[in-house]
Amino acid sequence: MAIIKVQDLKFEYQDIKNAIGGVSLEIEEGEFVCIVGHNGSGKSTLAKLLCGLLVPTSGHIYIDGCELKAELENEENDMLRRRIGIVFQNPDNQFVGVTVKDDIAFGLENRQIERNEIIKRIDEYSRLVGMDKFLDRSPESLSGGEKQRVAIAGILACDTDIIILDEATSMLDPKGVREVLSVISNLKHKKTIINITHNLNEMVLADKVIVMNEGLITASGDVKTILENEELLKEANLVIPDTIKLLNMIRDSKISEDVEDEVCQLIFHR
Amino acid sequence: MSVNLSQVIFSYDTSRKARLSGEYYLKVDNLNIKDTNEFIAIVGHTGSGKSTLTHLLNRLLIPQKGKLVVDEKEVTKRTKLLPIRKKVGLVFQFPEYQIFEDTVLKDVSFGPKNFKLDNPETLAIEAMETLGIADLKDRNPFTLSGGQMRKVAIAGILASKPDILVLDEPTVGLDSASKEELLEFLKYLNEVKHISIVLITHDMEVVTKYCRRAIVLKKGNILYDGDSLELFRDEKLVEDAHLDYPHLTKIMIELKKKYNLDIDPYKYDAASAFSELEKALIGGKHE
Amino acid sequence: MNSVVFGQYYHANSWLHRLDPRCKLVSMFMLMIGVFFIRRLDVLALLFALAIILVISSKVPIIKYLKSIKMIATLLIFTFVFQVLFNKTGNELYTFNFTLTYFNLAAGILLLVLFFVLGRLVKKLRLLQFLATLAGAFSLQMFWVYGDVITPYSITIHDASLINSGIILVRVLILVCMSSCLTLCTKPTDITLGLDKMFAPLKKLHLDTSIFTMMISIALRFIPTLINEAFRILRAQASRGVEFSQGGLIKKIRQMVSLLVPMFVIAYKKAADLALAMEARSYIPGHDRTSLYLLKYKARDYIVYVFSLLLLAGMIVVRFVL
Repeated sequence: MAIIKVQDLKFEYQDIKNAIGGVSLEIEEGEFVCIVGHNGSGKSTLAKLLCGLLVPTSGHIYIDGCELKAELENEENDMLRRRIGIVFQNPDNQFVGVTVKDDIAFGLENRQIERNEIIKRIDEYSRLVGMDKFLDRSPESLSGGEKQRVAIAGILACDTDIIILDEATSMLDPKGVREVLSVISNLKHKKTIINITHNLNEMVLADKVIVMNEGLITASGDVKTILENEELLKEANLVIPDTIKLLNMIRDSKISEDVEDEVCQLIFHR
Repeated sequence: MSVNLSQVIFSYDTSRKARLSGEYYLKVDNLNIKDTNEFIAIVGHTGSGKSTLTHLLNRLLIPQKGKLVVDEKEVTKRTKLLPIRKKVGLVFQFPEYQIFEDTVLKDVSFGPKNFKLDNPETLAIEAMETLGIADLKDRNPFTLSGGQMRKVAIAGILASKPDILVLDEPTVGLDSASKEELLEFLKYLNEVKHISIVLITHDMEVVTKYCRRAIVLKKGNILYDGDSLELFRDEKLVEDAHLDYPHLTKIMIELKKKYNLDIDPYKYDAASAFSELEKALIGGKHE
Repeated sequence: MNSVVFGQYYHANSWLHRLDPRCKLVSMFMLMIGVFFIRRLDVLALLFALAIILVISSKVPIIKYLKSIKMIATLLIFTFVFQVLFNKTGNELYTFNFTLTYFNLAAGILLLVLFFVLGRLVKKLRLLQFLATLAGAFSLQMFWVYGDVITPYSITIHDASLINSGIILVRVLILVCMSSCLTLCTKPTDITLGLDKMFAPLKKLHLDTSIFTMMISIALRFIPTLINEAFRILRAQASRGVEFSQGGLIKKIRQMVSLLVPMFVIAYKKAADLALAMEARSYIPGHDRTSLYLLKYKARDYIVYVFSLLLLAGMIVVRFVL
């Protein structure tokens, strides 16, 4: 059964009608999904709706078969929301703790996990993201990549099974991106991952790519079919990456099928 | 004419202890930036001193040692800073750092007014027209979308007619189409208006595709200053500075290795890479 | 980026550093109240000696304490001088006779000018320079009576007013030493934690202090970040041609606006982002939370409690019984 099921979801901001204009989708447990789209296409709004940070105007969201409802003071609802963690774009603005240790502990404290267990989990998950040597460091002394890894550790420590990354790598340097991506690819198929991104490197990690435009899903499929569909990309106001352009040129010129296959494999890692 | 930094040492910590220990945040032996036709990328890890370097260019920060020479005149304590600030225009990473007026037009003309230029409003409208946002002139900048706000911020600097335009990570958070639009605009400024562009970026595609010169920083030292494509030939440098290869280059390198092709993998766009590949493959078949 | 360290905390390893923050907060509070009860200079001197012992045993360089005293030194000296000069209670102790003449008036003005010129060259110890200038000007009027007399006058010092001013002076010194002791030897986060644990029982009375302490710890986390942002805004506007050292009042106001608006916008944006991040991580204001940190009283904490209680009792006895 799909772990996330969205039915005809709609959302309006005060000044933006149809920020989400009727979205339906299903995401399987353990699936790695990428959502792409231009700025203002509704990707981030969708992510916030899935986490229960925004309340939909209409439509339904089911997590593992249970509906996520709007009421705030609802125990069951809280439990559902706790199964989803989100990492935002700006590494600095989501770092709550005064130290790395404090930040990983923040979500656990809120969930009233007892102290010994918190200490155990900090140890375990800081190691998993490679931040175990930095536990007492303050956020000012960390790079963006390090802060994002701490954020991921904070989410993993809470035993969430769905992780949403809302352009989590867009403000990082190349090294930071590599570090975060390596953490994410290690989680692939262990957790359900929804990654909102503009980065081709991240798209090729995904099992499924969803294209959003004007608050609607305009296409979904594996990364290869999406990226090779020039029409679709143009319509969604996205630029075809140079590597795909090269692949298309090789294919059109038919100089070597062998090279074509190789390039294909290099781009899509499969 | 140009901006030149030589033997510069800068540190944020101005205490005696720091001075005596000889630690520094940024060291520049010699850096020359011409005020026409340059297109420079500054790359390096977080905290490598990229922003600090750009702030030294127009005296927003004053180095402990070394000198800044603008148009062959050394900048000293008595030098008027306004002309230097006008010459080197700085666009900060987030437009929120500078926008404060209640209409776009007022905000864009704020710079020209401070620099006491003639007809600040005409200059502002001119700058907004080149960016294609003239129709927003009466809007409140805080109600605009992120992309539009960024354009307002750039117009705010452009209106003062700088010779060198410095942008701090201008493409962060932009989708691929907006990114291309912005970069094409900078290319236009560079090629048509002959404004020098200095770009801080983490995006290696931008470095090879748009910039002609690259400055690589690591822990406050300049590791490389030269051609932006040639930079990637130095494998050790790329690794040492924690950089990445552009995707296109990565694929070309792999192809070269796998098929033992006689190609130059360092090409800035798909067409030139393809023609290189075509040459090698068709040539190979004939032999 | 350059980081700004917030708070005064100085890392060292003394018994004051190891003390439980709750114990430090409560004891400090009790002693401060006690100090206000005391109106006898000799007892205050004893308490001051105790404060000095605390300062020395904290293993924090004395210069750090002197810095916090320096901050209020000007205020302290002026209140002391004014108290002594204008509060006329008790017996006359000594009378200073001055004679103002044209010559020593001119000399006094000359000294003052000298003081301002000197300020351009030597930026340090301005307070000391100022006091020396004043002392110079008045001693001239006392000892160098030459030329046409404008007016003679005298200042009388009274013993009770001297003692009263001394009491105020010593009291403030004790308070500054003690509060510096607390902030220098306790991390800001530990102070927050201490407050949080101390006030936690109030929840039973429907007084929720956890939101308050969360606010303090968020503030501690974000103050350095916001200070850095403020510097960036300053530079962003400077590169748009704002000259912060120049311009008249109206220009100055506009310059302030060009800083304040972005500062507010950025702070608001950060707060909105942070609120979302906190909510996403299941923070619900006022709900019960567990804590990573555990505070546990040790023997030394109880000893300090007992000692401070006794001291407070002693001070009350001195004030009301003796």
